[in-house]
Amino acid sequence: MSKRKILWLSSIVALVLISAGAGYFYWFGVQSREIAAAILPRTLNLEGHGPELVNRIKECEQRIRAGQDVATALAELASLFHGNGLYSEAARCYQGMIRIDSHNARWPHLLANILAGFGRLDDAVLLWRRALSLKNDYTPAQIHLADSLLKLNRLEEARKVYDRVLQRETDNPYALLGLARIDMEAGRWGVARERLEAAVSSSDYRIGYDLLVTASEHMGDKTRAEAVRARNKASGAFIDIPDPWLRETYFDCYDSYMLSLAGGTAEAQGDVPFAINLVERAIRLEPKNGNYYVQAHLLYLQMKNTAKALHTVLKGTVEAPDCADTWHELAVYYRNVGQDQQAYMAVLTGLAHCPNSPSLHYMRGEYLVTAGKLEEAISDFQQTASIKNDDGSPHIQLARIYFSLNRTDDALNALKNGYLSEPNSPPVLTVLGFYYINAHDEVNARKWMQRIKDQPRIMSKERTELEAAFYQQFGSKAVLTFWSRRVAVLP
Amino acid sequence: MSFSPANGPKPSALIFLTVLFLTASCRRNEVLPQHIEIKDKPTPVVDTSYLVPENIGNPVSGYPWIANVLAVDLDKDGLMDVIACEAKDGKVLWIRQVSRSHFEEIVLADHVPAPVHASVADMTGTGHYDVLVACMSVVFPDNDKIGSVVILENDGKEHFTPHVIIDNIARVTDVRAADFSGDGRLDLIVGQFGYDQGEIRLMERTGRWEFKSRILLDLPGTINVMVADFCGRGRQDIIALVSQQYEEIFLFENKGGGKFEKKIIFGSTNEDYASSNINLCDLNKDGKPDILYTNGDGFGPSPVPGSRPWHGVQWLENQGSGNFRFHRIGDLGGAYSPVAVDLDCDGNMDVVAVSATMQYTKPSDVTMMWYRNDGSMNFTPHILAYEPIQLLTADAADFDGKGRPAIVTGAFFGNPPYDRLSRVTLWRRNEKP
Repeated sequence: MSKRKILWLSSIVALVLISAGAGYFYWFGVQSREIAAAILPRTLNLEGHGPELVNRIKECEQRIRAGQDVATALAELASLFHGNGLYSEAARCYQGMIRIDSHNARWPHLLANILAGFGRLDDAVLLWRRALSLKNDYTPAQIHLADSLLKLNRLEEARKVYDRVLQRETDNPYALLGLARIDMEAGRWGVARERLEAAVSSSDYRIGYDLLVTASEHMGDKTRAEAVRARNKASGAFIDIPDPWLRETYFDCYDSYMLSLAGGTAEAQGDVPFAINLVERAIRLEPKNGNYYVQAHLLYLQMKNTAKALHTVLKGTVEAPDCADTWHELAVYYRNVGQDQQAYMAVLTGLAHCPNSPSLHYMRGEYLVTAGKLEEAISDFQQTASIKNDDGSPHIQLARIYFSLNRTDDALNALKNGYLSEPNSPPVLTVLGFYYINAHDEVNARKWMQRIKDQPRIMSKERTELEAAFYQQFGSKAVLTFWSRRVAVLP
Repeated sequence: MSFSPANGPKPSALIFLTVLFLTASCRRNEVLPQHIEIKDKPTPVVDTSYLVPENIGNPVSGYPWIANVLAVDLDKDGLMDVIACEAKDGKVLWIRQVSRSHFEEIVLADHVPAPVHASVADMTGTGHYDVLVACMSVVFPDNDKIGSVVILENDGKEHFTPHVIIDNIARVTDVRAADFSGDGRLDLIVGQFGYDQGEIRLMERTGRWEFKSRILLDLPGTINVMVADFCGRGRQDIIALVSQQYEEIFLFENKGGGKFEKKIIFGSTNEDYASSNINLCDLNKDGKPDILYTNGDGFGPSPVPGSRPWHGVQWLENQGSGNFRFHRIGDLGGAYSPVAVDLDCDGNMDVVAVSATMQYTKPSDVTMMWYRNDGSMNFTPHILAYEPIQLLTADAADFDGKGRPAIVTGAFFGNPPYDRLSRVTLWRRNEKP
């Protein structure tokens, strides 16, 4: 082939490529505009949403209709919808973004997140596989894909995905938990337990603590199971895996309650500064809601920023004086820094605004007891008990007062009420145990000692003291009988 | 194909590359689902005069904790009654319809440790309803083993004797009776929410009030267990709703001979999906039991409970052989206690759900929603009530003997706001246009 011919052919090919490229980009622009415009909601009820959100949505829609920077506008619109709980609209935008910005893993991931949240796992699995084909190291997508497969009973596929996470992050607690569930299904309790131990170790007992107890019991390790159970009355510490892409939608959220929730989630994930950012925004959106000041106050305390914590809770008492929790937290703050006079004043002022607050009544009762005004404190604890039905503490306080006033029958009644309110409350059990030991009532003492033995949340020091008291009162024979009975009922 | 610099590219190679470039440019999204159906949300119809509320039983006193209502003709006198669980007072109540539209409240059992659910079954084969009670002891989070199952034995004259069937177990939230083994005796299936540890326990009958326990599931968070022949094999299968971070619905297919095969039939990856209740119905009238399902538990990582945008009502269509298909019915913040009922008597099964865990700060916060079925399983939301608030439980039945269903609700004031109070309320169709 002659050089001239080659040059000629090359020029034609170059021209075709340039034309194709230009045509493609023109077509792509038109397509993008059409895609975006087609998915804009025909009618959207934004009643109840704030003006800033409504304006931003309208502005994005206008930009899309005008063909101005369509991809950016649609992405922003998607985030606005997602962040404010308009999931159908957000899902449509993500569908558009998947077509317009097809090499970005974010869009299939976020769409999958919405769909899987509503149980549409088959669709979500395809989307997460797509996301991971574009970005194979995005751990939240991997974990959610594996979790979806597990929930679809596709355990072998789930196992492979969890394994892939562990190849990169050897102590990822979510992958360890998922694998442990698969092991438990297969009856591999020993392996499951090892994984759960690793999960709780790497997550500081946030992930896997619940099943660790079950696995330990299955392995016959009651000591370990009870040690985990003893950590909390009720943990509930599990929190979803942090997801930076999802988190970005919170910046477009204008719903104060959702921001408060997201703040709580961020806190549980260990990101307190981000949590503060979100809760402060909730306060700005709804400045008369005292709960958000309380939430922010507690977050500032975690950050050791006591000045800001005090400022926030004080502001809460001004902006939302009918929120009992702001007064209670203010009083607790003052008490913790040794300013009891201010604490007591906060309690009294709080009760003037919130006369039915159980926590404020409880605190006033405590101060009255400290001041020796036992009779006056009774009504406060009674008031607390009448509202906080599931709490044994006010009954214990009442029992202590009645014992001090030599009203033994009333004290016993209070303890029984405490037991009914919170049957396994450690203070209720130990006080009852001590009472019957002191009263030389061996039958009842034995009964409560049994319950104390079965409550792992009672500290070993208290347990030892009770056992010593029991021994002293009823002698070595009684103790031996007590323990031999325990041994006899062991499996 | 050759790319020898000496010879230069051949025309065929150049043409191939051009085609490849153009093809690659157009190649996209082939692995994505082609039709992800995303429905528009319908605007609710305000229908707050459709039902007329009436307090039944004792009047409101303090802040009621009615955890469960069950519409049942307990004494089989032809008049529909209500059994209610008052968790705070530890009482199981019988709100008896003594004569048409006249109710009186009778305490079936006192000092029951936080009863949260009641079902009925003839446990003794006498032809009378006994009452099965799930007891949590403590309603709010507590992981201690303080749950129990109590059966109130009916002597035939509606005098009830309590039998503690099991106690000192993870907190119990539901108990149902069925003959799982086919031996003619009623066994029990027990949902134990617990908190951090929980389980689902099958209690096989061994004597009059004796049972042998077997654990079917080792997860915390079970709220409801339901029994029916879901798989169409003539045996009693079990469905269980497991909440906490798992957010799954399990099917335990009864394979006979005491064997159950477990599978997940619904799961959400949103650990805060907030499952609240399931209920049974045949919504599409195909003869197979479907599942109604609400998610609306408002507790979570914020200082106060409240609604989420994903709270709502859905149904799982039973497609036979243990397969179910998920359908969203509608949104409802704080949704609880879905009930299938043909409220407008048009021959189509509708759905009613109540709302319990909202902040109730907006006048638009709904406490009872009716999802009206057009017959093709398209549901239009109708707002039935904005108050009273904090309605945790509902049931439906014909209380008037006219073939028209009414709704009964129970209110649970476990958190503020402590206003717009109610206790047990009967909601009848408004006779006036």
